Amino acid sequence: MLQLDHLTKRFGAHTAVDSLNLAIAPGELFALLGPNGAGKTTTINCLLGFLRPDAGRALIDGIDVAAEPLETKRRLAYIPEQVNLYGHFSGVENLAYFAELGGHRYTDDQLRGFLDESGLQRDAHDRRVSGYSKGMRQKVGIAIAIAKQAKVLLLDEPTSGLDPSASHEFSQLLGQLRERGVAILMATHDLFRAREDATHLGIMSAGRLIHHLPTAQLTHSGIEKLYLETMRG
Amino acid sequence: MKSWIQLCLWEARQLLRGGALRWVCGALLAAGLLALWSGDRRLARHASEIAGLPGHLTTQMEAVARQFTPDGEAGYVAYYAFLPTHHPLAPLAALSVGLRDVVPSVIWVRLLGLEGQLYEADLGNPALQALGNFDFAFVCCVLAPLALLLLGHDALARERDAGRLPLLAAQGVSLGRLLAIRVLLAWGAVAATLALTFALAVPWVGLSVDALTLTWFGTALGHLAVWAALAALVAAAARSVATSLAVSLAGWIGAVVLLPAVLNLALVTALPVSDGLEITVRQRQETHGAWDRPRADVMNAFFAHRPQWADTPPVTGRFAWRWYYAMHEMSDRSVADLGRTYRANLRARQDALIRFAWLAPSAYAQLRLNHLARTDLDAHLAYLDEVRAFHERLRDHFYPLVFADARITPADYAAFPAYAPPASPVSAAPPPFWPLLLTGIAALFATHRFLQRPILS
Repeated sequence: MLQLDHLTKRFGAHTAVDSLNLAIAPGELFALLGPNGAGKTTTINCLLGFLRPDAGRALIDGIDVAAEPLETKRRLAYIPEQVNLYGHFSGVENLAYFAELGGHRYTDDQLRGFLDESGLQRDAHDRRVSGYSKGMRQKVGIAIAIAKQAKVLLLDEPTSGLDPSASHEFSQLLGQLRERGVAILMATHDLFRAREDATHLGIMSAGRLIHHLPTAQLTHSGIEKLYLETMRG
Repeated sequence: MKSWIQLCLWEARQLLRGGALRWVCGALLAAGLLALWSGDRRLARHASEIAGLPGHLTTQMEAVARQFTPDGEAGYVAYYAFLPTHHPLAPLAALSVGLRDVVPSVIWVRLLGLEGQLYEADLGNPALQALGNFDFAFVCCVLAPLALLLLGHDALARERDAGRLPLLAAQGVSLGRLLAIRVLLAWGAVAATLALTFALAVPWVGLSVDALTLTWFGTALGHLAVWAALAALVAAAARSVATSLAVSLAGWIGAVVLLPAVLNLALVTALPVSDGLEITVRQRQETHGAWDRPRADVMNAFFAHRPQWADTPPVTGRFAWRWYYAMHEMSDRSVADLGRTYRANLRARQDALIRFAWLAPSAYAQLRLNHLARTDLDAHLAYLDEVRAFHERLRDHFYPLVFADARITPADYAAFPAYAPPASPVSAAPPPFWPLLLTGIAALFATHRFLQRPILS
């Protein structure tokens, strides 16, 4: 469903992503771990077509992102670390607008259903987003991703700003999406969430994928140990 | 198509909720109304001036009659008989004053040499300086593009600055499509403001809704569409609101002020045009010089052009009116080439301006609007030709009287030629629209190229 084939991205002399190979099947959640500057966000930006790879390919549902950027974007949903919305629109209006951009039109009840699913409380649905907390905006971002009904979900630090309860609800939501056959790539620093939610994880360093393991083989402490050892080189 | 409409509705809702629309379109509407008020006053002042001409003529002829009662020498009466000509303003001139505030609308002429009389009130030969007139054409060509840029320059940059662009772009909508909708909506908002002002102008200044008037407004909206393409270019190229605003303002100042000024300077330098005053002075020098030349030389030169008077007796005394007017006519003829060159160079300058129109779309559009309103150089030169024709009628009327040394009474004054402007003045084709179209297409092409860049490159 999502495939990286020797994906390479350079910024001048610096290689941000170095010949990265990865495949995520439907129903799998791959947690991409690594320190700041490891190349996680650059990888996601290449998958979104926001950056043009210098070598290799990124494929979504078998389609080359560089060749068909719009077509591949229609098949994926994305939740950035910071979900920024239109402050003068309410949560429902923002969701309706972004859904429209993605080519989907929903009834008011359906839109509120997506917001409920994301965990946004009902009394906030019609309030202007300019008064939302970061966590509330993040939940609208999650609702936008759910509403897109995409085959692939790209998450860049999605739980950043969510309280533990919301973070737990988000984990449950990811589980539901996996059950629906969505392939998920999640870049995160959160080792605990990675262990809880992911089917596979990888640790990146200096643009290279150093480890690629099924999470079932690892404990929380095992992941932490492996991560720290990788960082120490 | 349905999704386009839905997206347009969402974008329109965004535009309406933003505060900029109210301020920008409100200010544009206020400027438009002020321009209409000013144009209406200008028309009224002009109408009053034209309406006053018969009264002034009567007063003047009464003074002449008091001096030459019961009768007077035809040459003497012709010397003092100033007769008015006028260049009527069409209602469209209330929207597009063009050169009409720097060239005379009324010229009083008498039987003396004409060339000097034509250019006595000539203040200069402005072409692009006319951009400074505050009229509705100025609002359409100068202020409306600014309003459009203010509404559309940051169509994408504001998303980038607010951190929304990645989420927006990830939805699978083409940024080009989004940009097109936003810029078209900005164009629509500005065009609607202009249309409202224009609709008010119809009853206010008495415009008739005919093909010419609609072409005038169509030109204004077409020119605005070119600016929409330029706004799209800025929006596609700039990566931050600060950059897009700076580029927009710099581009606007460059296109509406600096480039027209530079172009004007270049044309004035490359195509020097002698001043009308120079023709006046040369003509007067010729007249004065003729006083010292043998009378027979002056008369023979005159007879070569007017053989019908060749059998009049030679001038023997110190003064004869026929000799005096022959001197004047010959001085006119002596500067005829200068006058033709003057007009040809003015036209050449205008033609050159049209060739470089794509550099200064606003100035060019204003030239076209002025042409349609008959307030441009062509209309003024056509009026001067009409005055020339009228002056020829004066000669046809007075020469038989002057050469016969006739005496005329105040009762004869009613038979003096009276000027009437042509009912349907001949007009050359307006400057074509395609140079503006080329600018717009070039801007759209460049916009497309910028949109091909990855958003994080």
